[in-house]
Amino acid sequence: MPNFEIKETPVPLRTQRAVSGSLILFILSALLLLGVQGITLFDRVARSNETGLDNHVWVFAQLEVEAKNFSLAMLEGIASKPDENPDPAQEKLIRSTFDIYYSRIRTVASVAKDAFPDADMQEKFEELKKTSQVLANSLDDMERLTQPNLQALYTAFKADMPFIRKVANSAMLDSILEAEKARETRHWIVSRLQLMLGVVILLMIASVSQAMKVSRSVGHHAAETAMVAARLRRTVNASLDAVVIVDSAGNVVEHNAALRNILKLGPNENIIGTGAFSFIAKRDRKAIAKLVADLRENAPLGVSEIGTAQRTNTNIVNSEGKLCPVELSCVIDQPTGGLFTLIAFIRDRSQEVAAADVLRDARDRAQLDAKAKERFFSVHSHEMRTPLNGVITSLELIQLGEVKASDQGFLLTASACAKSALTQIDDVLALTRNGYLGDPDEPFCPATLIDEIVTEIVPLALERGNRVAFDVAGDATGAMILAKSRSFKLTVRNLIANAVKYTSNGKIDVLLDARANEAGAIVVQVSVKDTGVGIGPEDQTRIFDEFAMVSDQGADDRTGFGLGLAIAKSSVERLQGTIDLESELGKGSRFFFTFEAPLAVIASATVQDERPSFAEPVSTGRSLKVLIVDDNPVNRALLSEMVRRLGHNPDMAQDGTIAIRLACEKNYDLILMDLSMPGLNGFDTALKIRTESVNTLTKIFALTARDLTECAAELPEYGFDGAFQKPIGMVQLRDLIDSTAYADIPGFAASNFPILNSFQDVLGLMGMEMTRNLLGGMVNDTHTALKALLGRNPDRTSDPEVAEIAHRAGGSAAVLGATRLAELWRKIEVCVKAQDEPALESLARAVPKVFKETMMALDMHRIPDLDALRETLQLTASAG
Amino acid sequence: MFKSCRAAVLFAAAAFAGANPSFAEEDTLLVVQNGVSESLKFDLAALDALPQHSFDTSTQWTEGTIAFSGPALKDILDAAQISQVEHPTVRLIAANQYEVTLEDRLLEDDVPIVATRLNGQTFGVRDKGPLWVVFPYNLNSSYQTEGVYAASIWQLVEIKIVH
Repeated sequence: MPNFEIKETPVPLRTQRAVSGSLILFILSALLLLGVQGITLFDRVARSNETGLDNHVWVFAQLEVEAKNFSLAMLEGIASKPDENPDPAQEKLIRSTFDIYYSRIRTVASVAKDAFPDADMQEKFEELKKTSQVLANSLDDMERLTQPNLQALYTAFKADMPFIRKVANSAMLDSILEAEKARETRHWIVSRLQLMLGVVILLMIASVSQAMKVSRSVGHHAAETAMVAARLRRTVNASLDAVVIVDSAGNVVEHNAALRNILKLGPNENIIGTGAFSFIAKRDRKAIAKLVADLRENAPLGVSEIGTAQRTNTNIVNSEGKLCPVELSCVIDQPTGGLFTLIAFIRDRSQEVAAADVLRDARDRAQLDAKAKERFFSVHSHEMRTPLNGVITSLELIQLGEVKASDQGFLLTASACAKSALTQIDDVLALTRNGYLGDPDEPFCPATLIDEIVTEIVPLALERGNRVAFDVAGDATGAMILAKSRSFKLTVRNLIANAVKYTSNGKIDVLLDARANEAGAIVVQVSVKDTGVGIGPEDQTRIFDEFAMVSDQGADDRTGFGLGLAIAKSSVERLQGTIDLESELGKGSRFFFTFEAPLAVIASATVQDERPSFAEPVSTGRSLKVLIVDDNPVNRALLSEMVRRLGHNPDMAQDGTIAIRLACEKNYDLILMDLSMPGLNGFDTALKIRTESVNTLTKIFALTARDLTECAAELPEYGFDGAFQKPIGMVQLRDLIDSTAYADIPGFAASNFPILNSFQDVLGLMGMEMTRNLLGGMVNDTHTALKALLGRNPDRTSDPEVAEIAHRAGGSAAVLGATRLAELWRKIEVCVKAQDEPALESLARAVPKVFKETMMALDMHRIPDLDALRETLQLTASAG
Repeated sequence: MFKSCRAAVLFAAAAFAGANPSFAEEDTLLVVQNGVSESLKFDLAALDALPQHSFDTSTQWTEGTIAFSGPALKDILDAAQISQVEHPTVRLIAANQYEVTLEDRLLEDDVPIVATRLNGQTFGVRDKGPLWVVFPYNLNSSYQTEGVYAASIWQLVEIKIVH
């Protein structure tokens, strides 16, 4: 949901409210004040009215009039008939006017009592009342009003007249003043009222303007709220996600257009008021009900606040009844207990799910492709190996001596190239499989392996005018470690080869640093430093990639596909080590890798394979019967020749059926079986031979170009004793045949004992001169012992002399670490003592062979004049 | 109905009074002249014969609260057949010849009264008697106006109905 942009009003609402609030407060208090003032005013008006002062002047004026009337009536009585008593009518008039005057005095006195609070005026009226009462009394005393009485009455009243007049006048004057004062009061009240009216009008104007402002503000807010609501509605409607509002009864209250699309509703279909649950797939309803319950539990109660959203993937059923995967996100608004509103946002995931399916398919396809590629390489390598094997073996069989001296160099180069091509194929296969055929942890001495590799590579380096030096550092350079030796070899070989390839007329320093760490493991670091072209920083990161070569080559002679460093890197990874480089363009590079490995418990350094000459058949004393089964005539012919040259008798079978037939007729010492053959394959042939022929106990080895790891598990089921990857070399074949030959000797299997053990240490301890002397002694002892053994008298039951000589020969071999030779002499010693003639015969046959192996292994350590020593024994053997 | 009946009674009483003045000339308290028929004269008995009204009030011309009683002025005027006069104007005249014209709006059925007694006693000229037109001033402020005060004539002796 996007944020709404709310336009800022010029005056913040809060301030506006505060201003109008204080204004309203002001108006109210002003009105209150005015009200109090008004009440006071009206009170005054009422009080001023209460006295009814307006006609008092008349009342007081009337006093004098009544007095005059009385006086006039009396004068008429005196003047009309001065000597007679006044007639009854006149008397009645006089009495009446007096009564009126009398009543007037009391009226006026009563009025004056209210009107004039001052004591002086009160006193005057009291005086008047008194005199009038005196008059009234004397008049009442007169039965008849006589003339004298009348005159006396008149005289007395006349005397009172000025006072009456004075009182009346002063009362009138006071009245007038009072009236004037009342007028002034009224005037003041009126002006006050006018003022109040003005204030009221001002307040009204202020109130009206405030009311207008408030109404405008209310209108503005209403408009703004409506605008926000409209915008929200528009946003919700425009939302690509469906939005549904559901009430506490679970019914749809509102929804946007997107929901129609997801549910595929028709234009006239209305779902307002229908149960929202009916749109959720049946299997998901329980989960959604739980989600809603969770939401309600966690929703802030009683506050109109939206709680945390709950999100889940679920499925809905559209109007066509189809399932549609969606992402559901719910919030709950629970302002009052019990009732709540659920707002659900629904996002259509069908495309996403479809995309995921496509991805999964693509991955599966890619995996299949990878498998296919692997198969391709496997087949390809097989196809290339077979002819290469032919080339390599053929070259080995060519007798160097019979070739022209000028062609010998070409022959050697052809052999080296063929071997290199085979290595390249192996490398490609190894890299493609990103795993590598078996490379078990095995004990080896890093120094020895590096030394071998350096030795191998020296001729190549020399061709490019490079010198190669190997040096060691650290406290454990001679230690045997337990690690993947082939990976180690691959790494070292590739790094050195790489250095040689990119260096001309320079120097390559190989340094081994091996140290024991606190945990007792050995930390091995090998660095290969050259003075070659170097690698620029831009290439340093990608140099370990497959098929990567430094961009600026400049020379055509640097062949290869750039796999070397990639192989080195993956091999280091298998060693669980790290590889890195330091390089400067034009100055050279230093590659180095580091890994950690435990110390090997049983130290054993087996040095094998060393370019022996197989030009002549090797005599091992006993000829074995070997059956070779292979459909490929070249392979068959090569293997056959190799067996023959090793001094044994080969038989050949081109398919399984022939092999079984031969196996039924003849007892073989060894059967070499190709696995992939047309018709009966190697597996079934082996099984048949094991179960149906006379060779049920014969050793059967598989020879295959297939990946050994693929078939290793099933081989024993078919009766195989072991397997070899094609192409098999002379050395391997010799060892295989020897192991078969030694199998005859009780208690001795050559493969149980390494040819050389810890010779490096002997060399280190004794020095070359001393070692050479020891070696001379060993050769002499072997020579003497073999002579004694062959020349012993078979008739003697026991020959302690021969046993002693055998014992000494074993001892001198053991000192040098020639374990296999020492063990062989130990056996011979035992057999001589036991007079086990048949055993002695085969053991004696083995001595020249084991001796030769030992000498070849020693050859690796570049002992000077070793050939001269070897000659000695050969002579002895031929003599025997 | 009641009103017309009452008017008939009053008329009968007035006719009786006018036709047979059974009291001495000097006992006459009030003379009513309507200008059409013979003037009507009332003595105390005649006035007492009319329906009596009474109320307590103070006045600005006297001290303390006084109980006034006597016939309603309206009844006296009705007895004088005021209805026979077109657009009548009632003029009240006092013993000292003070004269005031009664505004129509002041004439109600039972207010003012022509008081014959103060606190149950007849009263003389010296006490603004024997007849005094009074209003119940204390009853409400509408009886506290100058017009009402002016119409409150005492020592009433004559009523003239003119047109």
